[in-house]
Amino acid sequence: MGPWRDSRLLEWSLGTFHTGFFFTILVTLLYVTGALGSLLAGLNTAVGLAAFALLWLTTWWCTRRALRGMGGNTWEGRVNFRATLYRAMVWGGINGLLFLIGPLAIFILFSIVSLAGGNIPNLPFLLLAILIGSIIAFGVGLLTGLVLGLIDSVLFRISRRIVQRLHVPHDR
Amino acid sequence: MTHALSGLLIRWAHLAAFALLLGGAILLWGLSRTSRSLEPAEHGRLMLLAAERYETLFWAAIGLIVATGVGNLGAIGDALPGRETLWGVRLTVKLAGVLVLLAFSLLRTLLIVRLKAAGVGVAALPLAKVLQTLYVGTALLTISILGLAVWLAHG
Repeated sequence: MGPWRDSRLLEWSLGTFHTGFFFTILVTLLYVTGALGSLLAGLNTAVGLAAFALLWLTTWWCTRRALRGMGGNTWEGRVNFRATLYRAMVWGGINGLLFLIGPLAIFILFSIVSLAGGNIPNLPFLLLAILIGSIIAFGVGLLTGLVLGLIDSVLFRISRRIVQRLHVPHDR
Repeated sequence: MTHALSGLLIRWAHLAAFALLLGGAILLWGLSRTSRSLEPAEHGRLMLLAAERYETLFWAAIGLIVATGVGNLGAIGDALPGRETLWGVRLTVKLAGVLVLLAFSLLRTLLIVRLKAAGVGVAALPLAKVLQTLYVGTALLTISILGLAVWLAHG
């Protein structure tokens, strides 16, 4: 593996950047549309922090997987724009699914436990809800991945240009 | 845990994380200035090592800031002033500032990672100047956002 791909700092910083940027954009949009106050008022602090922690974890992991599949060309600076965006979108979609699955699994588990011995959960409805939720989560993740992939690509290129101006060799 | 105590802890964590960002950036800026008397190769190695450690902590602090920032807004809840108010305009500007800080910081980290991974002949680089610019920029952006935060809380 090349030094670029080996970099844990790169994975950590990109993963956190993606989480922070997405969350800040989301909060800004919710605030501007007037939906933030009521949404936050109905959300428990611990639940909100847990949701953020889960998103941070899944985004870091998906970013790591996306980077490790990119090959050494990222370090060389010759980033294949289409391939980068494709990977960003696919792993963004997977991230959306992972973020949905965690809370959903807990919800289903609690539902089953609380309903044990009582009413049987409406299985077809539950499956339909999971299917629709998954499609939406994948779609949102895909779009987010596209936007963040674009930003990443631009910043990769700018950093490459600056390093080139400093006359730093690209190989050891 | 009571609502007031959790609110206090969230505010404390938010401020502590900001202090880490700002203090670290100023420290790196100062270090890049004062360590210029070292051998160029030594200076380069020291700076990149310190910068790499700072970047790792920086991103942890950023995650904490975003999470606790939303928690702070949650404490206001339904009483959150609208976007058309002066408070709302300040909040929107602050959020935009956070986005700028995030993008600038990713660029800074990418540069550090590239320089470190290249195993560069850092002696040949105007490295001190580049790092000074990066960390002064980080400090200024952080101070601007902090100013807006103080303005929002007490203004």
